[in-house]
Amino acid sequence: MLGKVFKYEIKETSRLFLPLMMGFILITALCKFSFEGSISIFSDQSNILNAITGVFFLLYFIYIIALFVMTSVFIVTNFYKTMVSNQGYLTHTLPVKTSTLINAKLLVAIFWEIMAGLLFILSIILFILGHVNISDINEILKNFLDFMDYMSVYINVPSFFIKIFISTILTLISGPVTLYASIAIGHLFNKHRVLWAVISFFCIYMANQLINSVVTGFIADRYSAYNFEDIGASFSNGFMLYSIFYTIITTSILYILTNYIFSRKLNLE
Amino acid sequence: MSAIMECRDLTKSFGSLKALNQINFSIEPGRIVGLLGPNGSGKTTLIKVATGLLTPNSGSITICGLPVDTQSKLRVSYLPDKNYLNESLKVSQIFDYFNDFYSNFQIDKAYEMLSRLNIDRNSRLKTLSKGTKEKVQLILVMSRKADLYLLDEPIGGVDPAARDYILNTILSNYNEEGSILISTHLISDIEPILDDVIFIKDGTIVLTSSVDTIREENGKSVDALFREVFKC
Repeated sequence: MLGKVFKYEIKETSRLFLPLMMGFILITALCKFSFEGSISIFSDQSNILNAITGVFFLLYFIYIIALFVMTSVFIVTNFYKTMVSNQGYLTHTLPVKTSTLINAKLLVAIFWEIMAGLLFILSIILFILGHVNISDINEILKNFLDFMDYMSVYINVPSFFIKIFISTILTLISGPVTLYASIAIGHLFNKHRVLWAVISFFCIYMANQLINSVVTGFIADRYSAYNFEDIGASFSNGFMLYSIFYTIITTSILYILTNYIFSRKLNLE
Repeated sequence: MSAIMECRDLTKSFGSLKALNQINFSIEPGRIVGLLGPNGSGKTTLIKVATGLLTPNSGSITICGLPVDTQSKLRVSYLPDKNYLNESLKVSQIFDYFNDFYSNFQIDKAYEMLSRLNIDRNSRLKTLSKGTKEKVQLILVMSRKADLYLLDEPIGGVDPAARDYILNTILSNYNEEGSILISTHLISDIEPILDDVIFIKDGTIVLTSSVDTIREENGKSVDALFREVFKC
């Protein structure tokens, strides 16, 4: 069942995401060609090309913001449309468990988030291509490894990277789950459900910020760091670990809440 | 054999409004039941509780002895009183969707009904007229071999000729071991196909009876009795 729901979710969300991503690829290509053209030795119209390149890059930067913002917007509007709007009548009468529905949508959301991230990284690589040679890369790599050696006195470097990896995955999951939970909480009210959903979202966000600042304060206190290396250590060993556990706990709570509301407290208009 | 649908002291409120108030009744297999009442009497609310789209405040409701959940949803075929499909899809895509999720969807039967109505399977829902959309929704519902068909105002928005067609479609396509619950306020049209009726007013059941009993005991049609009972 999860596979089936996932398949249809991907098909349906592609209609929104593919144009968005195609557009990004297009603007990246335009920037690249225009940039290469403007610095090439064959160009006579260097001023015009420079101006065009400038405009394209401006559009590119705007598009990057749009790419990540619209990814979240599409995720939440698709969830809203299929779970609490008219299409909810179809979704919730399917012989499918509520948790399966939520899981499929979550997986699809993570998929598109990863796609957006990959496209972004690829665009950066595209711009660097042709302007960086092997010796540059080797030098950067060497500096980086030396730095890691140096820091390994203070922090466990491999564990640091594992924590970064886990934190990234968790962010991909907690973002959509928080949005879904906000919609679920809004659904508990009889009127002004969208308004309550927005309010819930901000409340969850504020609560997270508050708890995080308090905890950061405690950790900073405990590790009393005065130099860069110690600050790095307290960050990696203390804060990151706490942050990972905190996110796992809050995301799980929000997921369970969302599932409970949609399976036991459904009241579709 | 257990009742297809059974409600016990079912209550549903929206804030201070009691849409369903201590509803008690059951539907036996193989019956076509009319849920009749004026607008706002609770017909749609009752059907939505049976499909799981609304959560009751108290009381119980079972479908074939099962609580309203994933299992019961497979046995129930529901026709809502609104457009609930993804309008950007083609008819064939929606048929595939239903076929994928409902093991009791009879896709050949659905296409047969579709062609008899001369509806193009490749047309997108949003390009169809309101009446045609409703016919597509009806085909989807009646092509399923369900135990309980819940039809909410199936003939509400269509012309008289279409109404006859819809009623014929319902009669000739449903699973005869199952039951149908039709909610409507167009009683004279539907009366000929009903076995039993339930009169509902302000969230309370005021009468449950077979159509034959009403005609014998009261000497009048269900339509006439309805007008009497629900006189404004």
